[in-house]
Amino acid sequence: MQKKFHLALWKNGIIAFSIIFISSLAAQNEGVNFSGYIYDIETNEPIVNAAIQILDLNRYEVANLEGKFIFKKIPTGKHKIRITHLAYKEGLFDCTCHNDSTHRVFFLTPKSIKISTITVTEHNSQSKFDNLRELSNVLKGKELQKDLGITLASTLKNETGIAMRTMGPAPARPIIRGLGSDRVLMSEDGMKTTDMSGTSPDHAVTIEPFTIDRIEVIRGPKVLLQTPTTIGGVVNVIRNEIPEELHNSVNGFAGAYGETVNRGFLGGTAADIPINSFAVRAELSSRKTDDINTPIGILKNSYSKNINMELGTSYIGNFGFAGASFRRFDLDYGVPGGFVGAHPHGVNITMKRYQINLKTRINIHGKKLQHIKAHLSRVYYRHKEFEGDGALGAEFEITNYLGNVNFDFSNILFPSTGILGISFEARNFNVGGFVFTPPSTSLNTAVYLFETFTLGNFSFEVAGRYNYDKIRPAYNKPDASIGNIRKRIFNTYSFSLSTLYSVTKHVNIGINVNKSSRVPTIEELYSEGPHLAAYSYEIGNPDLKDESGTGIELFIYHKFNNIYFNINLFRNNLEYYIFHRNTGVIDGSTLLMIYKAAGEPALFYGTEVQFEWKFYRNFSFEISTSYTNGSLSETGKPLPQIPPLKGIVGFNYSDDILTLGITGEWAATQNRVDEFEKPTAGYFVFNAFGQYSISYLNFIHTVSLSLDNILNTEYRNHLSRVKSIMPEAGTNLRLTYKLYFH
Amino acid sequence: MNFLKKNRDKILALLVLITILQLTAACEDDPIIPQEEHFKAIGMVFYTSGIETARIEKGITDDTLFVKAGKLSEHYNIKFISEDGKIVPPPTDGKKLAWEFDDTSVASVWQHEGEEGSFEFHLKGLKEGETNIEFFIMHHDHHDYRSGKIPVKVIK
Repeated sequence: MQKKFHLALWKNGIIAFSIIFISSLAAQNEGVNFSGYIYDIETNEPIVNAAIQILDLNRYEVANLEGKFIFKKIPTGKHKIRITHLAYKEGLFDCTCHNDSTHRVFFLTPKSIKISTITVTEHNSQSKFDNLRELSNVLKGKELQKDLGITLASTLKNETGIAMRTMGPAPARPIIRGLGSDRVLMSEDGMKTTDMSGTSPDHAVTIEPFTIDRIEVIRGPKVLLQTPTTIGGVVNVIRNEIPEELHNSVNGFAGAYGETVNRGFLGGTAADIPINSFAVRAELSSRKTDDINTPIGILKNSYSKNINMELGTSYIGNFGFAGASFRRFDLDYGVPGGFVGAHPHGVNITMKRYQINLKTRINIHGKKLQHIKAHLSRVYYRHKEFEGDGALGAEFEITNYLGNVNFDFSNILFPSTGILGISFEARNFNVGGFVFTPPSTSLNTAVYLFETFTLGNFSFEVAGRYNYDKIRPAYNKPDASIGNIRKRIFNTYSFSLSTLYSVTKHVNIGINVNKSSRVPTIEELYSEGPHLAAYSYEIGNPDLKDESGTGIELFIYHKFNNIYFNINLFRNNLEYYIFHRNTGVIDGSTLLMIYKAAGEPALFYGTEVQFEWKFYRNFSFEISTSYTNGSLSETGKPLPQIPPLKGIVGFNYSDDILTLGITGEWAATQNRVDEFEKPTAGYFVFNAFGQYSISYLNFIHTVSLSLDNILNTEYRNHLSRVKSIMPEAGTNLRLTYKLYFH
Repeated sequence: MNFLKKNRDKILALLVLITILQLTAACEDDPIIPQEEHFKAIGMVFYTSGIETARIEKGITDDTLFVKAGKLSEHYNIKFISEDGKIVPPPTDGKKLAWEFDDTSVASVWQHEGEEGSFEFHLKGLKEGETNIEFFIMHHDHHDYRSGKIPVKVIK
């Protein structure tokens, strides 16, 4: 009893101390120091002699040899910063100076090696968290071009903490720390992507990677701006398809991509065209691939072809901007067959997605309220699965209305910047053919708050989100074999807090704690029978609760001159983890084991390490590893589809125009497998690449040539459903050419 | 003309917006086909001259199908066992019977001309020996039902 009292006293004391400490730092000061660093966005090198000007104060400084600048006695509040350098495109940034010293890091894009247009996804200033995200969770520029694959997942597969689940090359989706399906949200320019890739391994992601400017993997509190599932993450691709900034001239790119392993070819172009106060953006690409070659033969029925197009326009002025866009994505692809868990003869899938977006940002620039942003989308998604004889086996149709309104604010109760927002999603899901999930409608509404602030050497990000979900099947069926099929309502909340402490100028340590939630999908609730293409007998459970859990993550990162490293340790404890559990019952019609959706406690823990060292002039060494352990908490038995220990090791040479490198992509044997899952042997695969950029007049040519699996090694991806019949791709020569114009 | 010049930007934006909306028009005029019924059976019963001679349920059987080498067996009719244990006639909505032998050199299936894919058949003994046969109800390219393996014995 006494022990409990002391514990309560200790907890309450910490809470009281924290409140007093935070309040005491809320006092206003006249004039603060504003300092920071300027780096090259491509190489992360300091930009010496960059000129930094605070426009509204008409003050300027010059960055020193370390890229560092400092302004003294700057009034608190919002300021407009312009940074210029002869070799870089001008950067315009908003920055808020708080009562204490303000420290920021800015990135400029080189003029001579222009890989992508400047993209500004947020109008908040960069924080230490943004710095860390930029270093470890963003794929952009030359690196994006080097890693470009035929799908978003294959482009990201070698990023730390990310694996790829596949069922053939086309239906590939990212897995983050062993978690997939809709626990990893796909979004475009901050708006959720509507498709069925999260519901089944044979369903593809409807995003073409070639026309993307950058890819962000969002974790931590910012996730709650888009989804309540904090333990997974968000993969956000940025194209700015509704332009938000007005350029001085027409700019864009035209390019091509080819690879030998599947005789794949792509052509694409995108352009931003300013017309007085309007900006028009257009995009078009087309891709075709044949069946893929592996070291032991051709993987039949693994072809794909897609067409992707977009047209958008925006009226831009001092008030902000208002615009609209239309996007169309058509994809036909094959799903291989003839193995356990697949249709006997494979399946051909055709899908299309049409999306209209309306978006606006209203600049307020008040003392508290900075902007109001609104984004509305209407999506029509259609998906058909054809059997080997051409007969339609299954089809799905989704009409989805989504929207959000965000208020960017600052200094409400204490010095901070943040976002308060509301969102909704109204989805109509229709099915036809040989599918045993009832048509359904669902409604989601959410309210969320995100704040970021600094206290001395501490940086904080905190967010909370409340979700209301209603899922209604087209018919009630109280006596269904899976249970009582009826309407379900969920009220869930999520929370996330991250803090970063600057131990020194270059070393930061941090912690994140979070509470995650996820509502079961329609298939997890209501599916009554086999899924044709995946040929699995997975049935739903109408009585499922919402998936919930808590997580903690510790991280340390160091960035200074020649060395960068980042170490993460995470532990996610899910009190109720939804997965399909073997019932022990065989379905009498198909003689397949029945897997029924169930919720069980599960534990995920692991580590990620990244290390880069420029050991001599333009030569660098890099290594990264990811490890995830996923188990059922009560029995300790491994969960299925958990990626093995894996990583990358590489040596690079890089100067202004030429980059060369050789990498080793490796994975350990995965023996920790579910009851009906097979282990997968480890592997080591050699790859090499070269990139060259030249500029002439207003054109920049970039060429990337990659040779993957140089030794034609036979290896298997543990998360590939076709691994039992075919390994991964054999030796592949990939060529990407992009011509940038401005 | 002055009006056009003055409002050129707005007119252009309106044209782009109309183009955007038109691109979506009539793209969604593709009605979804109704969900199809699955033939739910958990077993098969074999009849010759109206008498039950073999059955298999949830992949388990104690019975064997017999045929003499070089000859056709008696005529088999098939009915199915539903999920609630009742005997039901075969489907009549275009679904077909298919089969697979472990060893195709021991026995084969013979059907009257014009009745291919129906739920009636004869076994044909090719040579003395034993094998297994598995039956399927085919719906297009996939099977709604599979029986599990039934022993087949070809005798002198």
